[in-house]
Amino acid sequence: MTTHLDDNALTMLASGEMPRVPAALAGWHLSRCADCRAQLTQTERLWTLAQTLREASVPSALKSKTLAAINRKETVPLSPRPAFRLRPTFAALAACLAAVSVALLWPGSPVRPLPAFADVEKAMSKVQSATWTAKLTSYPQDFWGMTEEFWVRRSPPAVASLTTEKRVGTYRTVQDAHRFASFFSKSNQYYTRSNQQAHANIARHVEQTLRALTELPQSGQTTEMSADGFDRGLETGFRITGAKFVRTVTPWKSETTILAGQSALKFTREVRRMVTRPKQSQSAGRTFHADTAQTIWADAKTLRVIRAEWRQSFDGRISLVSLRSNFRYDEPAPPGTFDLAPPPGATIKDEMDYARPKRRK
Amino acid sequence: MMTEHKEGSETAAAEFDALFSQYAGRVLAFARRLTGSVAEAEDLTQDTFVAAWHGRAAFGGRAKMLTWLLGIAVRRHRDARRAPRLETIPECPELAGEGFAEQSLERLALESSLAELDENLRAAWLLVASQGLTHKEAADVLARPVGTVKWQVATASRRLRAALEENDIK
Repeated sequence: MTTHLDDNALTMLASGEMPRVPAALAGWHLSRCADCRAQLTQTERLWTLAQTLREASVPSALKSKTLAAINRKETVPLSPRPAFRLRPTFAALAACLAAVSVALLWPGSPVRPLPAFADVEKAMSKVQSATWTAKLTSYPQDFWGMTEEFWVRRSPPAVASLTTEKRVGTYRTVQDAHRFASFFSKSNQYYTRSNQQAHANIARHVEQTLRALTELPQSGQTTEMSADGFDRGLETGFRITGAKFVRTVTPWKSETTILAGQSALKFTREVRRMVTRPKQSQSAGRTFHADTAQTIWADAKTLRVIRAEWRQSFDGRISLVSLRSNFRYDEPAPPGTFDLAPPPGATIKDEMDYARPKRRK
Repeated sequence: MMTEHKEGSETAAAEFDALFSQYAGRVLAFARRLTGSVAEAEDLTQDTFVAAWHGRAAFGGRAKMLTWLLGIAVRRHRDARRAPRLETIPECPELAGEGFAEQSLERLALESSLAELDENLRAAWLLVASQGLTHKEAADVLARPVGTVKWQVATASRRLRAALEENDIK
């Protein structure tokens, strides 16, 4: 055999299916051809890796679901054991839940209504400064994500963040009522701007951030609009021209819970976004759903936010998770938190440059 | 009468237990990569075992049990694909409940490259390389000529090799 081994020969060798004579010929060739040896090694490595995908751990519920599906068709008599075993388990679970619920409610009055989310907003309106960690993870394949350390100050309004972005690196941002400044460590560029609009935006951003950690409209609202003129990229994660856009925000639901060993209030709501693509587009008239399940945990005593989680999904599949935790309030910020001087050697970009920044690699 | 029925029930239950515990992990692993979705994979696995149970009398033992089950899974998946459905995106390994942190970078790269393959190539490659079927068995499962399956497995291997090399996974 003088010609190189083709893909088929490599896979037949890797799978051990090549008949004896051709295998012997291939072996003779391999003994003289380093390229084909390397290709075979790669293929065998791929085969070895493939073995790790052979078996998955089966969720315990899958078996019972399958049995139930079979039972529905009334063809297989099932072992009474699982049902017999499950019944006391459920009873014990229910008893535990009941006991925990009673323990949580006692000594407070069980008939007293839970605080509303408006009470959380009220408590947050009294906060002067806050710091937390935000982690964003995108799906599928975690192709983009970032961790941010935030400091927010109400008076004078300022926001500072230290961001580690997976594809960009680390950079610092400071926004206050008089300027906006970012320092990107990779490109070593320092952006700055200062105008009236920026001041108003920053002050509003601080208020919204501290009051409820959300910039979305009030619960219970439904908004219908053409996606034109709307910041579709931010809202839906994709841009569509001429699309119809309907957003519904469900009322907050509240419940008591335990978070990190402490009594907490858990508020949940759904922000449902329905986008219908225009007739001229490739998927004409199709409707997509970009929803966000929002959960906020507040301390049961202070009613301040202690954790917030946004799970954004696209057509029911999770696409982005934002988790904010490690909240601390009214602590003195470390010196220099809200100061950002251009580091030595940094390129200073003016407002015009910032308005159209070059794409970061 | 009651005793006989009870004994029959217990025998059937034991048979199902044995079938499920031996093959569910293999079918689920295959379904997960085929569908790209945990929920769909579990549904497909469930459908496969329900259909297998109802049709167990038709299993003549000519093929291996695993080959037979995977064949059912492939046919069920094709049926489901023909039905109108919303466009979906694959889920990430973390949410697939497989212990994201426990997976090697190499395996993550493979999963990612595999998800980008054409479904026919992916199915053929998974059956042969991952599930350990021969090309002939894979051809039976996929109801395609052996030559086609050989070409599909070889093409998928070449693309996956290239993708892993691009990712500098060594």
